[in-house]
Amino acid sequence: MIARLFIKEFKATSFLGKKGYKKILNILSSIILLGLFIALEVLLYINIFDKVNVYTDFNDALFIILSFVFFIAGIFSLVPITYNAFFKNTKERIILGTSPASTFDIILAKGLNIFFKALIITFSTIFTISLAYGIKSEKDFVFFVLMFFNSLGISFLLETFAFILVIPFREIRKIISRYKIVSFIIMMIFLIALALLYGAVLNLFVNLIRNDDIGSLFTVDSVNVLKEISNYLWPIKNVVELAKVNEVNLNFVIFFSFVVFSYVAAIFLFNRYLNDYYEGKTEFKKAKKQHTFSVKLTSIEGALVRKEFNLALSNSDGVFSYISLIILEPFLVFSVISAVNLIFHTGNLNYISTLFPSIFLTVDVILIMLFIAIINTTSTVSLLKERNTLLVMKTIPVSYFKQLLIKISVPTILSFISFLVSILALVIFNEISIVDFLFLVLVGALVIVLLNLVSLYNDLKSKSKSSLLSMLISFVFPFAAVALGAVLSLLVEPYLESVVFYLSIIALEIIVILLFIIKVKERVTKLFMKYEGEAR
Amino acid sequence: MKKKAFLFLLLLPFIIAIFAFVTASYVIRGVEVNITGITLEHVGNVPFLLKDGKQLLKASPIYDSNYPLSEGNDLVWTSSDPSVAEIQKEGDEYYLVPKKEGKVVVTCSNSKGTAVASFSAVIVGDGGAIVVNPIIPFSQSKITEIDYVGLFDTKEAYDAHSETLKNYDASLELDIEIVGTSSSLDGFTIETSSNIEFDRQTKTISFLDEGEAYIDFINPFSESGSAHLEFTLVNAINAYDYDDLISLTNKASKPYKIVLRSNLESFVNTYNFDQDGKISGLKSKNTSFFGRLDENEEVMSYLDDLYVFETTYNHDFLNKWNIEIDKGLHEGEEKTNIYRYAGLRIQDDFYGNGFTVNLHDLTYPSGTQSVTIDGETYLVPYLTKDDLYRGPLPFVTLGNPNYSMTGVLPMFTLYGQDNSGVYIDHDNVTLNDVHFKNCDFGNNLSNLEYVGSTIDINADNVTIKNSIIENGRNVIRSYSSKNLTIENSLLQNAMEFLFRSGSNEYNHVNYDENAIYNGANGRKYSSDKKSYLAPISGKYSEKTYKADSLLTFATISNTQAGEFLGIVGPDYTKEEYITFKNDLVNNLTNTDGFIDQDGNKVYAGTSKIIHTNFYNSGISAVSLDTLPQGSFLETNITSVFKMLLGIYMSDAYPENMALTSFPTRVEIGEGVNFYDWKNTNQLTYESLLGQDITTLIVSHGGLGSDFNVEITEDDYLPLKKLLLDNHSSEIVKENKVNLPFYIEGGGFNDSDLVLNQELSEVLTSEIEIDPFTYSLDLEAIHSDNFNSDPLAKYETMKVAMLRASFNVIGFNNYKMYGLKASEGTWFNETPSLDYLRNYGA
Repeated sequence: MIARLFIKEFKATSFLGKKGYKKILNILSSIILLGLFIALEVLLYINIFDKVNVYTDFNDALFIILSFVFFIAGIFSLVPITYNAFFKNTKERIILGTSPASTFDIILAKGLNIFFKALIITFSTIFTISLAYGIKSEKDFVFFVLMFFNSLGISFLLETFAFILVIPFREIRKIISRYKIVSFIIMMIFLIALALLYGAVLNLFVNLIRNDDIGSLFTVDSVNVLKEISNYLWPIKNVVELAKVNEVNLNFVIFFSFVVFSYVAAIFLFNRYLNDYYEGKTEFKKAKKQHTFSVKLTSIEGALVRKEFNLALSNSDGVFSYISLIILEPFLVFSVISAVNLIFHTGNLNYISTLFPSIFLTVDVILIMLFIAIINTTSTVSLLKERNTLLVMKTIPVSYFKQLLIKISVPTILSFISFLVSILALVIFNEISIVDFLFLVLVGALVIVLLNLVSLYNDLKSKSKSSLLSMLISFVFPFAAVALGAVLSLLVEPYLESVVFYLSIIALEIIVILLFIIKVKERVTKLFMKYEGEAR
Repeated sequence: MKKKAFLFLLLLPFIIAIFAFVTASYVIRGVEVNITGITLEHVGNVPFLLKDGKQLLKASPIYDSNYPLSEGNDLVWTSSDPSVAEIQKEGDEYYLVPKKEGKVVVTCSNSKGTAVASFSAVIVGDGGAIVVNPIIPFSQSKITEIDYVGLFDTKEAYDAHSETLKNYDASLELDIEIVGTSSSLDGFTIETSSNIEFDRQTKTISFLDEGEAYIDFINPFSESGSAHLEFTLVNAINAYDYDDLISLTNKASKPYKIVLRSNLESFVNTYNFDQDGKISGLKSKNTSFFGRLDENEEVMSYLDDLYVFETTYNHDFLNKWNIEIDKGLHEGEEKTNIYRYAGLRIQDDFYGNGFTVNLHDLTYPSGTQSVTIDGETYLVPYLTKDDLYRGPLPFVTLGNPNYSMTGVLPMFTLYGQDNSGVYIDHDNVTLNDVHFKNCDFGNNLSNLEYVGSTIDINADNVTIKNSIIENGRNVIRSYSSKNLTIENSLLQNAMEFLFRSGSNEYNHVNYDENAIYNGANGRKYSSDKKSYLAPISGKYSEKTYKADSLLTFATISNTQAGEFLGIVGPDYTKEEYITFKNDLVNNLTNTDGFIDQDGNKVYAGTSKIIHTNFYNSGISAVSLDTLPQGSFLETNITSVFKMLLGIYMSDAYPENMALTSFPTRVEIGEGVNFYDWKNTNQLTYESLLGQDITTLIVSHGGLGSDFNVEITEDDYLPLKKLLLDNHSSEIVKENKVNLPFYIEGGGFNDSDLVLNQELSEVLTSEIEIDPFTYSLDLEAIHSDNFNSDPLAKYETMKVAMLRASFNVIGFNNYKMYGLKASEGTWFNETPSLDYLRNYGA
C-alpha cells in the first residue's frame, strides 16, 4: 500500500505529471534551470569567498549563515509542498480517509515523496556550497563525507519542520480564506515583502561586487556581529562544526537531538492532525447563512467587464498568478533595472558602457519588455478560464468582436497600470530620463496590446497555451525589436540615437499590431464559434 | 514554463553582474606601532609629603588597542634629581620615593623614547610647602621648557588694543594648595615680575605687558617649601578649544598670533566612555575635542568650519573638463572639484605649548574593515560617501577625473594637490612646539592614503621648530615657499614622503624655438616644434625621426603589437630610440627664467632642515618634486595610444600640458637623522601614479574571461624593480632599505639637494634610474597565432602599456640617494624625543 501510494504521488509530481514532448521539455527545462541555479550559486559563492577571504575568519561564519538561510528557505519551500500533498485535493480526503491505509502509511508514502524534494533542495543548496567551501578552504576528505551524510540529516530535518509548520499554515490559510479582502491584503503584503527581499538581495549582491562599497558590508562591527550570530544558528552551526570534526560529541548530540525531537514532534502532531482532517474534525463548521439574492440591473457590457475583472483576479497559481505578478511588477522592474544600471557602471562593464553608452538603455528596454511579456502570458488563459460561461458568451446578444474586445481590454488596462507605475518609479528615482519614460510609455502600451491580441488569437486558434506563435511574440519579439532599434540607432548621429531607437521599436510594434487586428477581425466570429474551450 | 521564464528573468541581473566583478587588493606598508602619548595621573606641580614615604606612580599610554604595540613601549620613569626623590621599581609598578625637601621633574616615557610626559614633584618636609598650578594646566609633553600664555582671550580685545590702550583680557587663574603646614596664603610673601599682578582674593594673575613673567610664593619657614611659576607672555590670543581655534584661523578675517592652551584630540582620545558607549567624561583636564558633537554625541560635519581654497597646483585639465561639461560633452558626468580643504589655516605665529592637535575625525575615512594579508590582520579604512578627505586632486586623468566619488578609476591619474590638516599661505609664520597629526592610523602606512598632507605650505619665511608633525599621506608639503626652516622637529609616518618640496610655477613648451633632433647617422634636423610634436599624418612606415613616429615604434618594438594594429614601420635602432628620448626631453623642456641676470639659479622654493629626525616614510624622507612632462599631455602622442584611449575617455584630452617645473632647493643641515629603514617588500612607488590598466587589457585584449590579468607597479613605473635589481648590494641591509632622498623624474627636474658633509659620507652616490631605456629591452613572447594566443597578447599589451606610461609621465630619469648598507647608519633605531628636548641644552 505504501509503495503504491508513493508511486502514485511520485508520478503526480510536476516533473512527470505531463505527457509526451512536454514531459521531456519540462524535465529538461527543470534540469537546465536547476543547473543554472547551482552554477550561479557556486560561482557567486566562490567569488564572495575570495572577496571576503581577507576578512579575518569571516568565511567560516559566512558559510554557516548562508547554509542557515538555505535551511530556513528550504523549510518554507517545503511547507506549501507538504500542504499540497496532503490537503490540496479535497476529494483525496474522502478516498484516503475511508481507505484501509493508516494515516501513518499515508504520511510515510507522501513523506517519501516530499523527502525526495527536500533532498533536491538540500543538495542543490547547502551541500553544493559546502563543496565549494570545502574546496576553497582546503578541507580534508572527511569534511565532504560528513557533509554528505549531514545533508541527508538536514533534508530529514527540513521535512520534519515542514510537517510541524504545515499545521499552523493550513489553519491560518483556512481563517484567511474566509475573508477575501483580508486574504488579498495579506497576499499583497507578502508579495511586496518578497519583492523587497529580492531587491535587497540583488542590491547586496551588486554592492558586493563593487569594491568601493564592499567595506560598508563588512566592517569590523558587522563582521563581528555576523560571526557572533553564526554561533547561535543551531543546528546548522553544529552540522558544520561536526563536519569540521570540532567538538564532535557535543555537536553530534545537538544535531541528533534536533533530528529525533523534531521527528517525534512531527509524527505525533501531524499524525493526529491528519487523522482529524480525514475525520473532518478540522473543517470549519459553516454557519448557515441566510442568503438573500438581489438582482442589480446593469448593462451587459458592464457585466462583461466585471466578469473579466473577476477572471483576471482569480488566483490559482499563487505567487505566479497574474494578479500577483501585476502587483510585483513595479518592485521587480525597479530592482532589476536599477541594479542593471548600477552594474553597468561597475568594474569591467563600466568600460563597455563607456564604449557603447546606449548599452544599458538597450538592456533596460529588453528587460522591461520581457517582464511585460512574461507577466502577460499569465493572463492569456482568460478565455480558457471561461469554461462553463462559454456557452453564455456565445448566446448573449453582444457581438463576438465586442466581447473579445472587452476581454482584451481588461488585462491590457491592468497590465498597463502596473507597467506605468514601474516606469514612473524608474523616472522618479532617476534611473531613466524623462524622454526615455515618455517613449517607454508608448513602447510598453503597444507591446501589451500586441501580446494580448496574440494570446487571444492564440487561444482561439490553437487551444494551446504555449504555442510557437505565443512564444515567439513573448520572448523573441522583444529581442528582435530592441535589436532593430539598436542597429538603426547606430546609423544616425549620436544625439538622435535614442529617438531612432525608440521610434523603430514603436514602428515595428504598430506594424505587427495592425497585422493582427486585420487578421483577428476577419476571422474572429468564425474562430469564436468554433472555439469549444479546452479540456483541463 | 512561464514560472521558469520568470525565475530566469529574476536571475538575469545576477548573471550580468558576474561579468562586472572587479578584484580587491590592499597594499600593506607595515610600521611598528608605538604609543602616541602618555596621560599622567599627576599634572603640573604635585606635592608629596616626606612622611608619607613612597607613592605609586600612575600613567596611561595612549594607543589604539586594535594594534599590538612593538617592543620598547613599556613605560619607564625617571627622576631629574634622585637625591630629592628617586624612582623605585617593584614588579611592574613604579614608585616615587621622597628623600628630602625639594622639587624634581618626574618623567614617564616609553623605553624607546618616542613618547614622553612629565610632572614636577614637590617634596614637602616638616616646614610645609605651597604648591601652585594654573587651573588650566600646561602641557606635560613639551619639547621646549617654556610655557607661553597669550595676553588676550578674545579677538575683540586683541583688535582693540594699542600701544596706549593695553586691554589685555586674558588672565591666569591659579590653584594654590598649602600642604604640611597650617599657614594660610597670607603667611607667604609673594613676588612677581613687573609685567604681571597677582590678586590674593581671586588667586588670579592679570597681565600688564608681554615678556617673561614669574610669580614666587616664598615660605618664610622653608626655602624648599616655596613655589615658583614662570611663563612667557606673548602678544597673542589664547585658544582653549576647537571653537577658539577655528575662530582664530579659518574664520579669521586677518592673521592672529595664537597660543594653544589645550590638546585638541580625536573623539576616542578625548573622552572616556561608559559600558553603553556614552561619554562619561574627559580623559584629561587639558584635552578637548577637535570638532563638535551633536545632541546624540555624534561628531558633526566639519564642512562649515573648514578653510576651502582653489588648488594652487596647475588645474588646467580640470578646468578644461568643467568647460567641456558646460558645453554638454561627457554626457551623464559631472563637473569636477578644483578646491582643497584645510582643517586649520594658520595665518600667523602659533605657540603650540607642546599640545597636540589631532584631526583624525576630519581626515580619516569613516569606514573600517578587518583584512588578513599573509596571516597578518590589519584594520583597513575605506571611504564612505560623507567623508570629506578623499585623496589628492588629479592633475591629469586619462578618463573621468571624478574617480574619488564614483570609484571608477581612470586609466591613468597624475596627482595634484592634496587636502591638508594645516595650511599656511601667509609669510613669516612660525610654528613652535606643536604636535600636529592628521590622524591615528594603526600599523599600516597605506591607511594614510586619503588623509591629506599634515602641513601644506605656500608662503615664504615659514619656520617650524620644536615640533612633531606626523601621520599624513605626505607630512610637510612645501610648494613655492622660500626660506622655509624646519628645526629641531620630528617628522614621522607618511605613506609617501615626510617632506616634499615643489613648485607651483612652470613653463609651457616653447613653440617659438625650433625643434632640434637627431636623424640617421648623427644628422641633425631642425623643424617647427608643432610639426615635430604633431601626430603622424602620413604613412607610419616613413622614417621621419619625429616624435610620434619614434614613440609609436618604441612602444611596439620587440612585440607583435604592430601585427595586431596593422602597422608596419621603419626599423629604428635601440640607439636611435635612446637618442630620441633625449631629443624629446630637450624639445619639451623650457627653462626660460631659470637663471637670473646674475647667472644664479632661480628657485621657486628653498628650505633648510636642521637638527630634525625623519621616521617612517612609505617611499623616502625627502622628495624634490617636479611636474609630469609626457608627450601625451602636450599633443596627445603617441597617436596609437590616443586611438586606443579614444573610446575609453571621449573628448577629455589634456592639451599643452607638458610643463617644465621651476626648481626648488633643499638644504640638509647638521643633526638631521633618517630613521627610515623599511622592508624591501613594503617599499612601493605605486601611489605616485593612479592607473587601471587591468580594465583596459581585460576590455581590449580579448583574452577570454578566465584569463588572469595582474598588473603591478613593475608594469607602469618599475622604479622599485630597477632600484633593487641594480643597486641591492649598495643599499639593502637585512632586506631593508633606507632611501632618504628621491628626486622625481618623468618631468624635467632641475631642483638641487644640498647635503652636509657628515650625511654625504653615509649616503650612496646618486642612483639614477632610467625606466624608458629599460623598457626598450623588454620583449613579449612571440606567437605564430598571435591573435588567438591570449598569453602572447597579454605580454605584448603589458610591454606596450609600460612604454605608453612614459607618454603620460614623461621620459626624464629618476634619482635617489640611499643610506649605504655597509654603514647601516640608524639601522633598527628609533628617534628619541630626548634628542629634541635636549637641543641647545
